[in-house]
Amino acid sequence: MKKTQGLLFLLILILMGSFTTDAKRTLPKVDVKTLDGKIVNTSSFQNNGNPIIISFWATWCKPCVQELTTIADVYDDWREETGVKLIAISVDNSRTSGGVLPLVNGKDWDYEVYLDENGDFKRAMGVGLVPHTFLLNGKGEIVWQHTSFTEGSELELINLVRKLKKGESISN
Amino acid sequence: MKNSLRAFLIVAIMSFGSKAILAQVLGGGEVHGSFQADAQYYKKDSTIGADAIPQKMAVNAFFEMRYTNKNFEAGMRYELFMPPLQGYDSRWKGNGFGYRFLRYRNKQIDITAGNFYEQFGTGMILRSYQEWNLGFDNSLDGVRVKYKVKGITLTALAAKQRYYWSLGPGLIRGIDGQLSVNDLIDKWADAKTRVFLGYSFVSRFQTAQDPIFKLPENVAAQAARIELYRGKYNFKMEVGTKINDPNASNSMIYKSGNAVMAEFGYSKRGLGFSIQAERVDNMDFRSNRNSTGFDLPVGYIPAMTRQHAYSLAAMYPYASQANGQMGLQTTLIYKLKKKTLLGGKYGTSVNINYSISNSINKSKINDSTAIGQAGTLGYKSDFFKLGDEKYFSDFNIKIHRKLSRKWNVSLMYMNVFYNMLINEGHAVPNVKANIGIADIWWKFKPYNSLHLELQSLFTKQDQGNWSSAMLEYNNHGFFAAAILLYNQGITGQYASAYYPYATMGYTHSATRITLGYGRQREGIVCVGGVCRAVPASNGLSLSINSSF
Amino acid sequence: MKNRLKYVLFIAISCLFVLASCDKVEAPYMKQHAPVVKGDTVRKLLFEDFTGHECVNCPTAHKTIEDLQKVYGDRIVVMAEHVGFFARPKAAPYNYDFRTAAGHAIATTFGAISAPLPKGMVNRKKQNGGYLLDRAAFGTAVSLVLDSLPKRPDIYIELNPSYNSADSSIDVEVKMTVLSNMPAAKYKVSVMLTESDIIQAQKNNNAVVGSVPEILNYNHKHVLRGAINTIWGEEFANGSLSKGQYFIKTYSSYKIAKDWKPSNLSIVAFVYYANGTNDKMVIQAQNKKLL
Repeated sequence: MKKTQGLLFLLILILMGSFTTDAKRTLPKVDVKTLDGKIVNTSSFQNNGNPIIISFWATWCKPCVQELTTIADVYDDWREETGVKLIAISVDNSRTSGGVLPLVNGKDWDYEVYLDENGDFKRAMGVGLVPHTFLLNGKGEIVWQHTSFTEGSELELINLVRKLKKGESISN
Repeated sequence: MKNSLRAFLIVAIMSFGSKAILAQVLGGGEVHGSFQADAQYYKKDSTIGADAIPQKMAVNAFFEMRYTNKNFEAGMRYELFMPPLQGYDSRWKGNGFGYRFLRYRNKQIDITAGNFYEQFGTGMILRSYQEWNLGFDNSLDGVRVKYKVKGITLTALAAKQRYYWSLGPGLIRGIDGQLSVNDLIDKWADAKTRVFLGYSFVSRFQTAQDPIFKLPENVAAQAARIELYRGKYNFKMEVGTKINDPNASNSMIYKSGNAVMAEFGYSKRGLGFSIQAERVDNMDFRSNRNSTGFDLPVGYIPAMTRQHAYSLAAMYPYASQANGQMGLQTTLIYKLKKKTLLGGKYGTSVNINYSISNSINKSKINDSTAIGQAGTLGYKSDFFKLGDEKYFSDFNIKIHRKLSRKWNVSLMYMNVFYNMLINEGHAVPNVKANIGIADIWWKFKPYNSLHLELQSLFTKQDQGNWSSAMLEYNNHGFFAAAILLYNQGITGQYASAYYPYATMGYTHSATRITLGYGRQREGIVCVGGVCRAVPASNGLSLSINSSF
Repeated sequence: MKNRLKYVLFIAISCLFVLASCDKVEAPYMKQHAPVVKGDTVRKLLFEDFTGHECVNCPTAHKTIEDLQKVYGDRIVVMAEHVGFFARPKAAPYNYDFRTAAGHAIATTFGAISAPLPKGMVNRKKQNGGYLLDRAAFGTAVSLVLDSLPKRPDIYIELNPSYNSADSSIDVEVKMTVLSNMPAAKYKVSVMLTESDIIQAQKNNNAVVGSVPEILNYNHKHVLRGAINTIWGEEFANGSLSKGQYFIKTYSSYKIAKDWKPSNLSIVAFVYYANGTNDKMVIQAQNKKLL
């Protein structure tokens, strides 16, 4: 029974999909928490018409911390050059979320950091593995995404930001 | 089935016929989703205790899709376990739609029907979540309403829990209120101190027909919490209780349960400090009183220990004891300044962490009743007294330093104590282990790097000493790695064994494909940028992961 | 204003169900029971106990079964099947091999071979989608058969065993009398042999039951020794059964092993559906001491 129900559901979804417009994807409206306890809706993310990088990470994920540490070294230069802002979304659950603030401050990261304790934002964005990075253009449209981090990924990322800044269109 | 299909066809034809009209109503929607498949071919390998399976190959896969349109959202996930990968519960075997929901929300109200994930406070008395890579999903299937008004969020829900391919027998009803004190009065909005208060109540209904015990059909739990933030300081605390809930995990005792968790943090640029403490007594709360293990948890009592990413550091992880533990964890993260003697040219980051977990104090309720005897109040417990059994402790220190533009080094030392009976259910001896790790990155060209990771674990107990070496090469989105893990074993008990493994993969935007071959011991493996839990096996594995 | 009204309503409804959902149980927590009903023409169930000598939680499960037997007496026919990982013979004192081919086959069929133990099974009937029961669910499953179904059995089983000490063999006559009309199906009867009071080591983690972490002289009860008329028994009827009908089966010269004590042996027999929607489900069970 569950199977037929689900199948019906899928068909309806596909049907609805046929009505989707070609407009670029925007951020889903999900509540996340700031490091000082405020609830913030993701639809309020903005950067004065400049590009935004959204990076999903966790304290227990080595490559995530490595990615954010690597970018932290050059973040000031990036901001000066392109006005880009990085928003780091921690997917740590209540077991490890207490370690987010000490880590962010201890590592001296200058990012806007939010907690997504029960993974609502993560699921809404279709994130399976962390790290997972999204790039938003000045209009708040998601134009590019990437999973995993390897040395050099950050160079690729800033090149895309530069293109966006110049008004070139980019896509995956 | 036939009827609903016919109805669907009619709707479909009608809607395509009037697409122009409907497009106005439904237009502007978006469809997104993700996909993951993990397949493994198993070879029998008695040296490392890996089994072949009759089907030869196992596959876990899911396909998730979401449709959003203004205030409306719908989604589903198709799951397939044919058969489940080794190490996943065999009850997952099968395929079908394990998750589907409809949701409407505006600024004030948010209604979900179908499957949903929810967490009240820290999750102490209610948390439903999914961890695909662990084969865990206790999503709630029912109705949830959220209502938001200035500074207050109220949540009410009634649902049953997902239990593999069916639902658990207990009906879960819960309410939660979260209050942001500063938002109540305009004058407080910009106050230096921010205060949040919360309260939640959760009840389970399950019919009872037990010939021996008088069982409560309704079991309730409640929790209150406070969060304070002022400048560099923050403080959080949650206190919960549960009324009599004789169940399989507490051996049918009628004592009420309680839990306290508190956390204090201080941090400023370049320094982070936190200390957490918890005391949990008889708080295992599930939607089926007969369940044990990973089945049907409603409350979530976290293990207050560091979650390690290096494979040998993660070899002896603590299993949280919801029915009794007292724990403490403290973390200090410090960044030694750039261009100083200790800090070096680029600065050095130091991360120190210590955690310990103990049993709680238990004494007899009277002379004729043994501690934990079924059908009694079980035991008395002195709140402030430590129990006499140590469950776990972990001291670790990690230093990371960027030596130059091309070289990065991390060093880690860890000392762990692991109570075998409590954590794995088999008898002594307990494990005491020392672990050393060196992690070196060499970025020899902008997009090219080599990564060498050396780990050693020293212990006289369990399976003895382990060491591992990994060399990884990265070039743009491509990576290849070779790992050699060696278990020295213990003379007369465990034979020594080598675990060679090779893996390679490619990432293009949000799609990632990895291929691996060789022996793997049970544990968490982190290569090429991500971490996954992998069971002991020998053979060929393939993973594909993509979002759109 | 309208908003505030909604808000008040929301709180009111929430409070209502909050108050309604809490059952405080007062001592005594155990139910008091009337003495066990005497007489043999009564519904009896087959309780299969999947166990192993290295299974630390199994003595607690045995205790639960004994508590149930205090309530229901011999209406619970127990068969302890030592199976899987925890039953493997190891170094002394765990060198005794309790395992049987029959136990292995049954555990494999019902999924107990790879499940974490202890697990129980009542009348081989599916409950909540599976055959196997966790320890805390034993009581409910037993009550659902012995309290919720009529006391009078659908089929009565009479066992007449005899022991031939000259060649250590067993003969048994099984008589099945139909007491109410039964639907068309294949009906089989299984006859097994169990032994009690085998003193061997057992791991244990419950101080209420005995010494921890092991009980060196544990009394192993109802241990399955073998199948007298093959693992899945013998078909005795195919079709509908009517009240008053009876069937007699005799099995002879079943040899017992040297270390089995005839005075501790019992014959266990049960009748079950061998096809259809109730396939494998046991209708009635019986237990009789050999001597």
